Amino acid sequence: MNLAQTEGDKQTAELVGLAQRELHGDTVLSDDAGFSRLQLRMSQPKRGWARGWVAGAVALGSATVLAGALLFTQSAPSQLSFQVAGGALDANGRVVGQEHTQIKFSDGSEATLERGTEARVTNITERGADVVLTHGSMRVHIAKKPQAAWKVAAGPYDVRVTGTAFDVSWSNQAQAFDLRMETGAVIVTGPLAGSGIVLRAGQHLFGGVAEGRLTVEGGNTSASPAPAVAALEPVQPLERRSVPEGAAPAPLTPNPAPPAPAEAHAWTRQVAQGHFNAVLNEAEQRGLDRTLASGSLEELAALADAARYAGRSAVAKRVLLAERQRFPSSRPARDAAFFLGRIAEEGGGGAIEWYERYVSESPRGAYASQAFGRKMMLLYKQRGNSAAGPVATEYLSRYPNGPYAAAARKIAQESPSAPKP
Amino acid sequence: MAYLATRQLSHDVAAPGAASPPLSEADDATLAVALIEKNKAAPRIAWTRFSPLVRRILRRSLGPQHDVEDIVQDVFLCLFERVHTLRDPVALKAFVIAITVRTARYEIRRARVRRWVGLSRTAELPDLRVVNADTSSQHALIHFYRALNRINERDRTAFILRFIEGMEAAEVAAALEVSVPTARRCFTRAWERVTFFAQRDPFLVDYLSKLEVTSSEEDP
Repeated sequence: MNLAQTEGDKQTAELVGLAQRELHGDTVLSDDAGFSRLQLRMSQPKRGWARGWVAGAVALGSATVLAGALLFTQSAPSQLSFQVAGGALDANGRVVGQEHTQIKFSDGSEATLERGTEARVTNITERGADVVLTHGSMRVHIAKKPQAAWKVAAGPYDVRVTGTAFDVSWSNQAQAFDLRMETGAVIVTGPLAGSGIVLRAGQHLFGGVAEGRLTVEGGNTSASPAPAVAALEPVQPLERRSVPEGAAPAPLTPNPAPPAPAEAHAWTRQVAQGHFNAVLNEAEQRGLDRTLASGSLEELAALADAARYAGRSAVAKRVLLAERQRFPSSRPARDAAFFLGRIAEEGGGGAIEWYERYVSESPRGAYASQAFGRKMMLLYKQRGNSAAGPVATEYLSRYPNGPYAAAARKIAQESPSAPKP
Repeated sequence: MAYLATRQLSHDVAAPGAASPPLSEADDATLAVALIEKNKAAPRIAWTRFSPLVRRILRRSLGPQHDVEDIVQDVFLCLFERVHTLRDPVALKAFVIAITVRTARYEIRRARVRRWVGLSRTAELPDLRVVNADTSSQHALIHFYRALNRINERDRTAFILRFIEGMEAAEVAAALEVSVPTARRCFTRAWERVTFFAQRDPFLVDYLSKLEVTSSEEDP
């Protein structure tokens, strides 16, 4: 079938070729190392890796190589199951975080543990489970399902969730609790939280008994009632921290009320569907200054994306700066530093500084290798080998297989002063 | 498990019979029988033989944003668990591919739940294991897979197996457990939809229009 007939077909064929070139079966692990990891998992209790969907008969009933039906039957578990990926589950049900340890549940929920974090899973039902964070930090994504019932316990704090994503940390030593919301809403109960604090997307709660207070950053602490929790009001000494003033071009309304969730999600959906100009037009009709001052974090994030994809760099820059000023502790605000670096590369300068800021704020962020690599390339172009050499060496030590590894090796080899990787 | 044994640095385990080639050089049918009989050397040989294929299919199915190493292991754990149900040892490779495709489809469905929950508003760029430093290509790949994510999971898988993995229609049908005509409809429909979405992605349009321009700007 000759598919490369129209311009669109030719473009799709180019993209197919790109995928074939870039996505291959090579791995940085040696064959020995890969099999050793497999052997380790084979030695674990079966519940550590079994997937509920695999249970059932597999039959291949044909004498020819590829004909015949291949059937999997799936047994519906009466309760959730989970597996530990990239880590180990000991006999006491304790999970200790290693490089990329995840607890993956059969309903799609998961918890990603930072290195050295300890957690346990208890009280597993068909609707959820309790994930107990003994110490350390983890990112939690709970699949939104009807009547989902999950609890994340961190020290003396309980976080009740239905469908949401957040980062939570607990330090036994400092008796410090920290929770950053990404999406959805949760209710936090525990010391100093009274009958419960509702947190929504973009908010950050931290503190604890040792500090003698809980602090909420970003948005409004909700006093609206939640299922099974009575209406609440902020409990003293709960402290509201105002967002620090910045050099924003427009005056900011401190802690404005977030819009209704449906409106906030609409822009995200429109961006996902490629309707960038529609989002920009809506923002401009609403008033860009007003949007920057009062829009929710999700709205600003969607607007920034729309502006970047539509090539409206000046608008994108304003939105990204507003994200950082109004929601400084949020992940999108930290990511904004990377995007501001990309915009700065187009003109205006300051890209290296933005990339350095991103790496400083998010050393393990999704764009860290990109930011580091971009900084290296800019230094090479602007100041030559002497400036880029040490950065190249450090890049290779951090990201030996990163997207800029080949360029870093060249720079490091050419540099007379940089120590060889 | 019976497969646990002292790690062997050499895979050359002689099959019974002085004239038999070592298991590492045996055909798929012989290896399948060895796995079913729980030959201690068989899992390692199966890993060496099939892990690049499994890893490639998973990467191409799930896209550049997924770290697939753990999922590769899941496929092999399932293979070792279920190989005894393989009626025709000759079809070992097809069996491996079927498990891989089923695993990939499961992961795609799970990833869609995570996206719905709101895991990431923009493309997350993990440390991509690519050789070149062409970030535009990496971004283009991510945008391409965004377009793929917008079509249903079966059509998407059919597209990947047919056009990226290069399987024939009969192989795609077997991997997806559908008839050959159904498989053809799936990947043809997927091609049309992907083309539609890709043409409306400004980044991809820009990237593809510059493909013929050779840029030495970022080469030291």
